[in-house]
Amino acid sequence: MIKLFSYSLIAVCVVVLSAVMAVSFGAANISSGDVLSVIFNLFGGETHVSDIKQRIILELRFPRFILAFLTGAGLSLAGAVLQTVTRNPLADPYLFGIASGASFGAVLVIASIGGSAGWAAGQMSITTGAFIGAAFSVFIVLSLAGRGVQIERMLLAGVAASFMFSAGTSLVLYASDPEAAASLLFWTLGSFTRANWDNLFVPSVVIIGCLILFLGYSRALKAVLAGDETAKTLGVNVTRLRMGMLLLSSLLTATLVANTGGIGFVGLMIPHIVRRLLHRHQQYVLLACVMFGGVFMVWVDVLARSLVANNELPIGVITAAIGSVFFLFVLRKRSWIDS
Amino acid sequence: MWTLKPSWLSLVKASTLMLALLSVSGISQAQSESGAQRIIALAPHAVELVYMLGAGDRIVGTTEYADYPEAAKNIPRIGGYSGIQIERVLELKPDLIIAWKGGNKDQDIEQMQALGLPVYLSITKKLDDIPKEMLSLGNKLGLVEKAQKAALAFNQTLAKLRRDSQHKSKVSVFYQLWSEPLRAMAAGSWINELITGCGGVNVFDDASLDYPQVSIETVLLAKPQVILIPSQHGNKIEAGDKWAPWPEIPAVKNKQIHFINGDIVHRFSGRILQGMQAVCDVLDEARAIHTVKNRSQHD
Repeated sequence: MIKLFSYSLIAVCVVVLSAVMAVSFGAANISSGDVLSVIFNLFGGETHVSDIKQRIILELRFPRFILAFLTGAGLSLAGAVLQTVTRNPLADPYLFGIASGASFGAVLVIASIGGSAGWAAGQMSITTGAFIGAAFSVFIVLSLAGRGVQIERMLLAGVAASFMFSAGTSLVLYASDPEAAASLLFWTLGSFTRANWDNLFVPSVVIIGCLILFLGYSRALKAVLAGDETAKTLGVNVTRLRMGMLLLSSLLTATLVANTGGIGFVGLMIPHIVRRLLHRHQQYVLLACVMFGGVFMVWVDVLARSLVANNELPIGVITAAIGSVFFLFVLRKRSWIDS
Repeated sequence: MWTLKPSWLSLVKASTLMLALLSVSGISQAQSESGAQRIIALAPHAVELVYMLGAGDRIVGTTEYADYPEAAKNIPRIGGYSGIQIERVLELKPDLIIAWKGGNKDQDIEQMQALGLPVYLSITKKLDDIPKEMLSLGNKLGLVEKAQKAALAFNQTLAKLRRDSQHKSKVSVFYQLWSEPLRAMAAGSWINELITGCGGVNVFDDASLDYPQVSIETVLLAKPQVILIPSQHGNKIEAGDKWAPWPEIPAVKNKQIHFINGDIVHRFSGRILQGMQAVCDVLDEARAIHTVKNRSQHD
């Protein structure tokens, strides 16, 4: 118990430290001290930090930090749950064509608005379009999953849906002019540049709500991990649980993809790493995924902002590049046995 | 160079050969009426230049977005951003293809060259390349005299614009090439040349990439006095709205967010000087506001 307490303390410290450090990284010369001073100022303290720096910290960098954290946390959470309910180590939030469905929705909206012309005005409708695309994809996959939601059928349907939507996206991309195509490509690679306080509300609510529900069902999830039959004898309605968890994961992923674009590999990688790190404390996988995934994404965003001067790199590229190398390293270190 | 070709290419080949021989032997102006008669212009600026030289009616094919002058809209389209239909090119039996290095796909250009088609490469990177382009096109079209006049006029106007702005105070400019992602233009682009030519300073001229992706934060720090946003293909970009919450930027505070016609400033045709004039006017306006402010502060 003391061990658990100290672990949580460490986790909270890492998150807070990451927040202060990540927010102090960026083009403007802002120190960690400035960040702390601005935070204390919010609670009535005094600050010597200039107005413009305060606005940069509060209106640009903090929302971005939170969006990055939420995205990492949410995708990891969805990945962990999906890997559990499908008992498939390759399951990840993008498996069911959610990302390609969302991309297709966004691409259609952008193309019909006309290039990046209406982006500023049409921000809301792009998110909506992405969400509808993702939901449509999930609907296709689930309706093909057959009675009792058979895992194999569902996975294959997911792959098929994914290819179908990608084809649609490619076609729209091909037909649109270079400016729209560049915007779309940028969108599909993921970015946190659009973070602001207004568009943080929905993702926060969805992630917190899903986390609470997942935690509530964690006993049932554990039973499913032991096999459908075992779970049934333990009194778990496997079909309903699986369907419910899938829908929640889809909601989670669709919300995040709609706000940040396609950021792959996080949902696949983080749960695996977390499970290895936790060892005998598997009951904390979900919470650890939130912490680890969130902090990972925050630092990926710091890299994206600072690797090339006066330039920002797409998030998806960095997650995949760093993630795959790190993942290979972990895999190599010890022979992989699904824990 | 002239390898054996299928017979259906013979006509094309013959005309190409003739053209090649003519240009090698150095055609005089008297002979020049025999310049290229069936032109395929694979870029909007190439179409504009050919029209400007008075040979627009000789264009038999072009690409999408070649919309100036008005008459150009009636030219058959044989390709676009996604590529050129080489079969249509062959069908049209051109005696001159003006391809755009960097705009058309390299693959398409190479294929046309491999087929022995008379490809002329338009390579324009700087403003000074445009009059050169006029001269070489004039040569190809047999309109040397006209081209010389046009090139001279271009050079004179350009020199005048540069001279007029030479001693004016510098104005810092953020050129918002794209709004999502937010992209600027670095040094080395012709847009940079337009800005510096008008006595402006591109705030991102030290970026390491040609089209750096910037953020609201970097623009905030750069504090541009003017934000220039190109509109393209008739779409009025509402991208200026995103700056409204940031009066810390002088351009926002002084309402110096200006839209310029992207179809003009992004094309290497004679019209680019109209675009440059527009940029210079905008910078003058910003300068005036700045001087008035400075003066009132002084008082």
